[in-house]
Amino acid sequence: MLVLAEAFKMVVQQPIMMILVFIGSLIGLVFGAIPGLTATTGVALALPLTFALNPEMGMALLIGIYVGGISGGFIAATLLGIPGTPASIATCFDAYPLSQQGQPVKALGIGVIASFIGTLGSIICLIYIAPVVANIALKLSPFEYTSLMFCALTLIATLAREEPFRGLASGFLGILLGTIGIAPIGSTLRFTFGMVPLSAGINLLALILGVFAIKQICVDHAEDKPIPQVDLKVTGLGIGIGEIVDNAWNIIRSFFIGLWIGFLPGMGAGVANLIAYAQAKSSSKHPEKFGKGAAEGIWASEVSNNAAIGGAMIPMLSLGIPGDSVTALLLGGLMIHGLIPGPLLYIKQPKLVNSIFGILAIAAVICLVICYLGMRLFPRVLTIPRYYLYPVLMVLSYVGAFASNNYSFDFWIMLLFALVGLIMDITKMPMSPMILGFILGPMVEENLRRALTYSSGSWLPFITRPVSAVLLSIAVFSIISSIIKMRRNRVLQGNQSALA
Amino acid sequence: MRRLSAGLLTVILIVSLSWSLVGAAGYPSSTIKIMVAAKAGGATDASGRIIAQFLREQLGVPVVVVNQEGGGGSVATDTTIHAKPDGYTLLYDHVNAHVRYHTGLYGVSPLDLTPIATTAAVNQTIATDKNSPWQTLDDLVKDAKANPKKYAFGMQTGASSHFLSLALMDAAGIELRLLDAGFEADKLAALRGGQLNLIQATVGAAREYVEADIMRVLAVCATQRDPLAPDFPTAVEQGYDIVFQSMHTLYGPPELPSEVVNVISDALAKLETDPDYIEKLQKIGHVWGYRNPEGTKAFLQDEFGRIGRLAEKFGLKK
Repeated sequence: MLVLAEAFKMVVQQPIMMILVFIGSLIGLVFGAIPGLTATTGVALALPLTFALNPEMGMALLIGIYVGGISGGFIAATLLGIPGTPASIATCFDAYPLSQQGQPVKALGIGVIASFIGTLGSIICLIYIAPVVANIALKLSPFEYTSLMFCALTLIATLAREEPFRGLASGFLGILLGTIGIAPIGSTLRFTFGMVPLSAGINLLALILGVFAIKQICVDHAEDKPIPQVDLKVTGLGIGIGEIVDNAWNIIRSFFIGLWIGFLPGMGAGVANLIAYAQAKSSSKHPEKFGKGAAEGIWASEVSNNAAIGGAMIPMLSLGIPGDSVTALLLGGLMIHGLIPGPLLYIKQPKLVNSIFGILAIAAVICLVICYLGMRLFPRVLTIPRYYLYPVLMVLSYVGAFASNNYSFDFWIMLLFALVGLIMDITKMPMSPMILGFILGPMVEENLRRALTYSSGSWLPFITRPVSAVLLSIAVFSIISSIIKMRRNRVLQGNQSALA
Repeated sequence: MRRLSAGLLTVILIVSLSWSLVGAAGYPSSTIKIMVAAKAGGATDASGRIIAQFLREQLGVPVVVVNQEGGGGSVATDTTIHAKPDGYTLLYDHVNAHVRYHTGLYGVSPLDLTPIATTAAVNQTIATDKNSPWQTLDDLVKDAKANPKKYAFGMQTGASSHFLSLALMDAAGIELRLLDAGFEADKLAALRGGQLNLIQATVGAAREYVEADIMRVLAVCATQRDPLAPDFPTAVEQGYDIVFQSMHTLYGPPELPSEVVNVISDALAKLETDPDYIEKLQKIGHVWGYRNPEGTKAFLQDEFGRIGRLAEKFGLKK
C-alpha cells in the first residue's frame, strides 16, 4: 500500500491538481450519465485543452474524465434504461427493471459501490503487478486472441438461454452487422452498397442510442406508462453489507474479467461489462431472474467496467500500447508533450507515473463521494413528467450520435436501429446477444484472419498452443453445456404444460 | 404595417447579401474547419491541431479540428469533396489518401482536391529486434535473398505500412512474408514477442525503443537523415532507393479559388521561422516540410505515381 499512499499524498499536496481531478471527475460523471456522451467523447474534447498544461496537470483532468465517464454510465442505465455509455450496456438489463420496481436507490447504491470497488482494485493491480502482467501481453499471439474472443462469443448462448432460437438469431444478426464496412484484413469493402459513410461501418454509439434510447422513448410514449412509485429514502450506502458479502464471488470474478479484458489491446469497458454479465448469468443459481432486476447482474456489469480502467492503463503505461479507446487518447495527451510511454516511462518519468496512480485513486474517491451525495437527487429523474424529460433525451441522443464521429449520417443509423429495436421487441428477440455479437464478431474475424496469415493458413496452432487450446476447450464446453441446459429447460417446460 | 414589414425584409435582404459579399472578399472572416482523417489523440491529429493553432494566430479567425477517422479517412475526404469551395472546410491527410485510392477503398483521387501546402512529415524506419543478426540494410538484403519468403515483416494491410514493405521488397529485390500485425503499438509487441522479424516504426517511437535497447533501426526511409535521430542511417545512403515519408498535406475542396489557397499557404509558410512551433512539432516526432501550392501539387503527383506503380506491381490495384 506504500506506493499508493505515496502517490495519493503527492497529488493531495498540490491543490491545483486536486481541483483538476475534481473538475475532470465531475465532467466525466456528467458525460457518463448523459446518454450518448461517453468517456471517450469527454476525453477527446478536453484533450486539446491539456496541450497548454504540463503533463501531470493534463493527466489529472483527462484521467478524472475517464474514471468519471466510466463510473457515471450506470446512472442513466438505472433510471432511464438507456446506457449512459457503452460501458454500461449490461447495467440496463437489470438495474432498469429494479428501479422500475420502485427500488432505484438500491440499484444506484450497487452501481456506486461496484464502480468504486472496480476502479480501486484495478489501480492496486496496476501499481503492483503491471510490469509482470504487461510482459504476458507480448507472449500472446493472434491465436490466443482469437480463441479468447471466440470463447467470449459463445456467451451468446448463455444470454439466449430462455429463447434459444430468437436469441441465436439476434446474436448472428449482430455478427452480420459487424461485417459492414472495411474488412479488417485485406481491406475489402463489404455491404456498403456504394455509400461512403458505410465504409466506416456501423457506429456502435449510434446503434446503442437507437436500440435503447430512441426505442425506449417510443415504447414509453406509446404505452403511456404511469410514473412508478419510488422509494427515495436513502439509508447508509443504499445497500447493506450483506448484499456485498452475498455477491463476493461474483464481484471477484467480474473484477478479473474486467481487468483482463481492459488489459487486452483494443477491448475496453464496453466489452468487459457484457462478458462479465453473461458470465454472472451463466454461474448464477437463479439465471431466470436476470433481465428482471437481478442485483447480481448490476454488480457484474459495474465492477467489470470500472476494473477495465486499471486494466487498460497497464499496457498503456508499461508498453505504450493502449488497452482501449480512452487510453489511446491519453497516450496522445502524453505524446504532445514529447513523452512516449513505453518500457522507459517508469525509469525516465517516475514522478509522472506516480502522479497517474495518485490521480486515478483520487478520481475514484471523488466519484464515490459525488455519486453517493447524488443518490438523494438522481432518482427524482423518475418523477419528472415524460413530456419534459423525453424531448431533452431526444436532443441529447442526436448530439451523442453526431459527436462520436462528427458525422450526420449517424442520425440515420440511430433512427434505423430504433426501428430495428422496436421490431425486435415486438418479435420478442432479446437485445443483448445482438450487441455482444456486434462487438465481438469483428474482433474474432480480425484476429482469426491475422492468425492464419501468421501460420500461412494452418489451423493447427489453435490446438497446439496450450493457452489457445484451453480457451477453445472452454468454448466447446460452454456450447455443449448450453445445449444441455436448453434441452432440460424445454423438457421442464414440456412437463409443466403437460401438468397444466 | 404591411409596408413596414416589406421594407424591413428588403433591408434585411440587402444587408445580408452585402455581408456575404464582404465575406467573400475578405477571406477569412469566419470559422475554418479542418477535417482530420484520423482519430483524436494520434500523431496526425496532434500535428493537425498544432497547424490549426498556428493558422488561428496568423489569420485571426477560429480554426477548429474535426476528426473523421471513419473508413480509413474516406469519410473526411468525402466531407471535404462535397463542401463548398469557400475555404472554410479543409482536409488534413497524409500518404494514406493515395493508398485509399489505389487499393479501391475510395473512388476519388486525392489529385482532384485542391492542394494547399505540405506541412509536417513523419519519417518511417525499418526496424528489427535488438537481438537480430542484421546490423545494416545490406545484411538483411543478403540474408533475405538467400532465404526468400522466410522473414516476416509486420504491416497493416491496405495502410501506408503495407506500401512501405512493398517499397522495400521492390527496391532491394527481396521477398518477405507480409503479416498483418495491426497498428504501430501492436507491431512493436509482436516484434518483441518474436512473431515478426521486421517492422515499420516512426522515428519518434523507434528512438525510444532504441534507447531502451530493445530495437535496432536498419534504415530511415527518406532522402536525408531525420534531425530528430541523426544517428539513424537512411536507406538511400545505404544504396537502396526507399523513400516513404508520411507527409501531411492540407487540401481544399475541388476548385478552391487560388486567392484563398494563397492566403492559407502564405500564412503556413511563416511557421518555419517560429521556433516555438517547430519545437512543438518535433515533440510529437514531426519534421517541418512546407511546400507552396505548386510544389505540393508536384509532390502529390510524384507520390501518387509511386504508390500507383507499387499497387500495380504487387497486384493490389483495384
